[in-house]
Amino acid sequence: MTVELDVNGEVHTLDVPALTPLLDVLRESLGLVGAKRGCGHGQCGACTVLVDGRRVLSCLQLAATVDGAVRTIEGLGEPDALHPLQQAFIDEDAFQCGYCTPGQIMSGVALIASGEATDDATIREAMSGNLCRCGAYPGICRAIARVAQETP
Amino acid sequence: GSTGTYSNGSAIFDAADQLRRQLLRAARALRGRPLERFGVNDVRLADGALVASDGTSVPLRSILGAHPDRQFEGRGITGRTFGYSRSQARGSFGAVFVEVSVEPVTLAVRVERVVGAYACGRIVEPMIARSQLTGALIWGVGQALCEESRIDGRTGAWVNDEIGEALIPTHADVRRVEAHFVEETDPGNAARGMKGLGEIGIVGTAAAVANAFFDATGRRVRRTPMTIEHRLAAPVDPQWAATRTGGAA
Repeated sequence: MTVELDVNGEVHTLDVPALTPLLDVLRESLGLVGAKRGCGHGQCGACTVLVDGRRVLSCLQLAATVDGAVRTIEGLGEPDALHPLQQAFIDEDAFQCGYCTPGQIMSGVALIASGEATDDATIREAMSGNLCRCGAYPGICRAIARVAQETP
Repeated sequence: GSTGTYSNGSAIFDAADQLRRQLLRAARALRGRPLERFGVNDVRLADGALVASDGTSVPLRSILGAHPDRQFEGRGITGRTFGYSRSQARGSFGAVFVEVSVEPVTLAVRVERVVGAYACGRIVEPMIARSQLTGALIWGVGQALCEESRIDGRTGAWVNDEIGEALIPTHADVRRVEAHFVEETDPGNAARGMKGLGEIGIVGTAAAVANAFFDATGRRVRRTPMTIEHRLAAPVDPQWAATRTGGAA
């Protein structure tokens, strides 16, 4: 079926099978491989992208039912002008292998924008949908806390 | 890392040593024979020059310019620093402490604080090294509390082969995790003082969690993960109860 998607500000019209998850469209049809298939059934958060600013598990979201503008890690910042959270991830060493990192960052961006990144315990709880096997959690939370503080 | 830094790092040092040696020898052939009285360990490469310990500096441009047809190349072979020493310990060492809080009725465990201190030789990049240690400490918490691979006894099939059932620690499971470096120099270390540290954070951490749980409850659990049925099944040690005022759970 025909699907129209606004991804990172660009509108795409695609012909995909009806049950295609958004994750597959992003990775296979649009070449946006930042979002990762960590588990394929919504348990790890590595596929997290934003739809109208909301966190969405793109492995479970059918492309045909997306109702808003999609933003992926590729749509965040530029190589020479990083988003503050991207820079904070570097400064706080908030990643090791990097596999969960796009999902962590997109999740963190939405959390900060919601105004709920108020204290460490709340940040940890709200980010628990994004698993990190390398155990970079302390750095991730430091990065989010720092940017949340600096965000008006 | 586990072995990458010290094995590749040693090869890089070897290659750099050879390069310095070649450049030094070539420099001595220049007019005025600069650096003649210096050995390879008294000079270093810096800012495009060969610089001696007294500050004498010979630009690489001059050395290379005097030998236009020559190539200077150092080669290091990785893996030469593996192998065992009979006379010296070459591993990293550490100690880990865990603080837990336990709900007295349900025996739900929260790991409040994990603190490890490690002697890992020469730390090449402290930020990355610390992250490896804290990451491994988090693995230890997972080993203690939730991680296991379950096999069906009759078929040999993996029973919990998805992330929703093969549990690993989440953000909320980890509060304060700290890793501290204990400085040490290791003169006999063939890897220029570098050691592997990618794994040591997990070593003993599950035991520390179990010990903390015992300290809190008097219940000795001797298997990992210490899941709720095992925590509940462990009897309260009467000696532990006797040392506590206010009674046990």
